[in-house]
Amino acid sequence: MGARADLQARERAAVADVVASTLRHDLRNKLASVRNASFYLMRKMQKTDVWSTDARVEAFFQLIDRELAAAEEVLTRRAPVASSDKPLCHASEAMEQGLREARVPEQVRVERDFKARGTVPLDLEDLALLVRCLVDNAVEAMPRGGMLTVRTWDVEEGEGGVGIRVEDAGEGLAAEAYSRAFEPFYSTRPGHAGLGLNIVQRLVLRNGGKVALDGGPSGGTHVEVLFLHRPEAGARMRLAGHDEIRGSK
Amino acid sequence: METSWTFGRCLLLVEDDPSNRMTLAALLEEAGFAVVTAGSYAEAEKWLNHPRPIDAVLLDQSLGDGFGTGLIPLVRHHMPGAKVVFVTGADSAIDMPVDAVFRKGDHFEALLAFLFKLLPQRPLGMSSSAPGPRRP
Repeated sequence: MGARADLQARERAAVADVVASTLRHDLRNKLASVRNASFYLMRKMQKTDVWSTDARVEAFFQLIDRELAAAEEVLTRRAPVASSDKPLCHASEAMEQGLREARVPEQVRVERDFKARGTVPLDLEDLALLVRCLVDNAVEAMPRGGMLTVRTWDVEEGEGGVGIRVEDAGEGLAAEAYSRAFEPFYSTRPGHAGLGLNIVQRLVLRNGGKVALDGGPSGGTHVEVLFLHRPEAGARMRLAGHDEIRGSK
Repeated sequence: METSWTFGRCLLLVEDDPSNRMTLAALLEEAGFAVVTAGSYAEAEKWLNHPRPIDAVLLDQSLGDGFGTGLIPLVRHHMPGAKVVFVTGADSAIDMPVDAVFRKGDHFEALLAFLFKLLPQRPLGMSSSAPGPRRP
């Protein structure tokens, strides 16, 4: 599979993951309401004569509880992790791949500042997908063109890590949009699915990183992603496209 | 179902799903808590900016008009003594500065057990026989 086809496949998988997760969340809400309502009614019924005269009442409440637990189990069941190896890649390499795959028009100038030498705990293709989502968002924020700034750097504090930042020079977002931007299917632009930042957030959180969206003092928005190293004794890690190494960094 | 350890305790329940809000509030009230509800981020924000004494905030993440996590700094600022319990239906809980995480779908008794552990015990005489959550 070529790099572009692989990225498209990962994008489709990421979108499917968002949709499935949203459905699981909504179903869990409904099941929780049914469970709470059932528990409330059971408490009330226990105080009535029917509870002791008709054994089926208690049996039916138990049945509801069992079935809800079974439905929860189905929702919680996830595909097994294929490998215990942990992927690693170089942020700057993923930035370049993400930029290549993104739709950057001519009127958008790209300023690169790639200083990171450390690694990020994601496959190269996953990090490239993350970058592409951020770059697509930034480009869409500048319909008349402007400066797109992409940076990577090594975090020196604590155990260290790698930082990634994508910044646009657009008009910025309304206050409400900052608090909702990571929600699935939320978009301020008509015709957009509103999945990009949610995909970014899921990739980051699943791999122990942090992500923040903010506006600059002179307009525009930036997204900053931090992957901080956490000591993991004896962890076996795989550097994507490179030889296997051992260690936490 | 009222128990003495819950008596006089006030909870703020922030939940945008009406069915969840109604059923969870009913169970908490049945357990003896006073419950104030907010059905959206904006409603909760308004409430938190004019706070009254509360013991704990039960916070849903997806509120339709914002994320519950955005309200945590407001709670910490205006109600430094209040505990924050994150009530989530998401696949995995985000690493965040809350006092407990309760998964939607877990049994209500588990939530009561969380609250029993979190809320500071009162001096004897105010809550002399705090039995903790009952078992079903």
